[in-house]
Amino acid sequence: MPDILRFDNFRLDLQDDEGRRYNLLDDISFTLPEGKALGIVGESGCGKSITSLAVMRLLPAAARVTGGSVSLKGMDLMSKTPKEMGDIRGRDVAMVFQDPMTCLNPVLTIGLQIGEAIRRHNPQMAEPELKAATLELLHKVGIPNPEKRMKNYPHQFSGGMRQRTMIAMAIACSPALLIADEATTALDVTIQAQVLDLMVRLKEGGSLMFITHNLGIVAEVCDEVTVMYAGQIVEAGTVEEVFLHPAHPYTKGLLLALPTLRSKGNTLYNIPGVVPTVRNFTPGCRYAPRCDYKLPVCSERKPARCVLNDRHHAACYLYEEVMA
Amino acid sequence: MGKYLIRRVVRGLLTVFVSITFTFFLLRLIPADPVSMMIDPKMSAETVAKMTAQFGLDKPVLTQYFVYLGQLLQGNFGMSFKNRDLVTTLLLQKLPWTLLLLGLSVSLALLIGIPVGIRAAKKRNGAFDRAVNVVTMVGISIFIPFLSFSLLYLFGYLLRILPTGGAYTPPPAKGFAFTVDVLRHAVLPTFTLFIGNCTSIILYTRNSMIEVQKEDYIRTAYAKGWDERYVTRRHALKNAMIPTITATGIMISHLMGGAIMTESIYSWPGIGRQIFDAVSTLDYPVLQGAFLFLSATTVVINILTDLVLAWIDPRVKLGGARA
Repeated sequence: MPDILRFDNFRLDLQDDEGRRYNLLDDISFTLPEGKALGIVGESGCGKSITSLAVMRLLPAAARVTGGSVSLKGMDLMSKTPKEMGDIRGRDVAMVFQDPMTCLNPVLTIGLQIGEAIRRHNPQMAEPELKAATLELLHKVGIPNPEKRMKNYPHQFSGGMRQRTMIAMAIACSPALLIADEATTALDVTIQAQVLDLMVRLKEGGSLMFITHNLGIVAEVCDEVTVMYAGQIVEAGTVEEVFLHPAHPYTKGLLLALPTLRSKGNTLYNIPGVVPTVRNFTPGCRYAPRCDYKLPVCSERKPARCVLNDRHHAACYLYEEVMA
Repeated sequence: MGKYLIRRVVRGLLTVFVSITFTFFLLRLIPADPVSMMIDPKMSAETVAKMTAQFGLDKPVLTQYFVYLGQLLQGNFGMSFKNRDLVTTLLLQKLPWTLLLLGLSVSLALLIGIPVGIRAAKKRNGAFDRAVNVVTMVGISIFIPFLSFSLLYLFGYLLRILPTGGAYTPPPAKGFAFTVDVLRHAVLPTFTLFIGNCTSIILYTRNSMIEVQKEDYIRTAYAKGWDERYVTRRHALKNAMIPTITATGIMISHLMGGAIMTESIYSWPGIGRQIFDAVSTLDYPVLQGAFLFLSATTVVINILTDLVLAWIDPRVKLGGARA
């Protein structure tokens, strides 16, 4: 199966106002096979959103790419001109962002904002066709009374409806890859489930990349999962492998911290310490300061990627020794 | 909408009423007497008393006030102390000149200020933005009389290419020649007003463009594949114009009467110059009329600004807070 998306040793620094640089993404490598759904999980600030923005080449001004490559459908994205990138965005890859409250333009109608997503990659489309396509998209994402609703402004929509609108815009040109960056985080739980279901249903043979800190969502909708901690990939594999046989101490901690029906009344496990910010990442394995299994070598050198089986690998010295 | 307008108009009338009351009493608090400023020392006490009675200044202030209000209700704005002209006629004569200056300087300020502001915001701290920052800083801090006299000295005296004052060369020419003559006279006062106005338009536009560009919906537009030109035009501009429109409204109400200094220096026969003259002779009726006119136009412009804002931003509900 060909890979739709491929990160190879991608490195990215953040530069602050005084010109100091901090490494955020440290040799990020992963692949997303065509037609699959990949979940990227990690805590806030671990670089998962930046990773998804790199695919869109919509990185914040402070970001500096320092190495590696990102390729989408075999195209090297970092070498594309802004114009070429414009042709790729929306057509080959589209994104649903986190906060539906701020992601829609408050002074333009819903119909116009969806319509322009279609028009960008179908410039030959006439006005009546465009309107019909907009209505169909609104219908597809389950907005009732689309004829009337397309004349509304975002503030007349609820949070769930706005996120449905965002999804309608993202799938407007049937992109090969749909990225959802915390797309359900700002919604309440029942709406979350509906929106989630919608995205899975509408990807239509396309591939899905889910950025989330919600392990439940990953288990429910993803085929593969990549776990990130402080800008490093600590573990990756199929959802069953990683969830049933977590290898990296961080993944183990995350799963232990999940409340289950059986944990009722008991205190949940919590990982000691706090998530470091990009300014105080430590050398070697960045999880080492909080790790229960820390070895002296952990803070000196970054552990290599250890293949546990053909569907599972982790970056941790515990497994390097096992394999050696 | 209808109900909203009625409420605004009623509130506006109240504002105007408060303003004319203040004007009326403030003028009479000035420790000088309009009659004594006009009379010849040789005039007899009788003539002085007659003049005072003629102006209605012999009655108690409160009576004068109610007489004034009564006149206003009949649409009578009074008569100038100085030359017995009707205040209405006097102001209507000056109004076109003020409007001409205002129209020229505001439209130039918008025409140049908005594109410059947008361009500066595009590359924050770039070469263009830094140059604009320096120019606007100078434009904001420059002392208007200093600027005016320097311009007069340079163009009117040294180079002798522009007239030094007035709005036209008497006797007025006919047809096209008159237009050209008026425009030549308008260059310096327009430019003087333009400096300050354009500066604030640039600053408002630049700052709100910078803010708007950080918004999430701008990123959404880029994510659809659109380029910077389209995103600026379609998504950023409308949102960024909201503060600029408010600023323009305030600017216009200021210019209606606020060009006193500029109009006086260039002897431009507008409302501002009229206010200056009326203050020097303590011409109560003219001042009262002028300030009534100013408060009324300010009220009208405020209502118009709100209507334009509500038209641009669907979240603004007329008569209510933002949705």
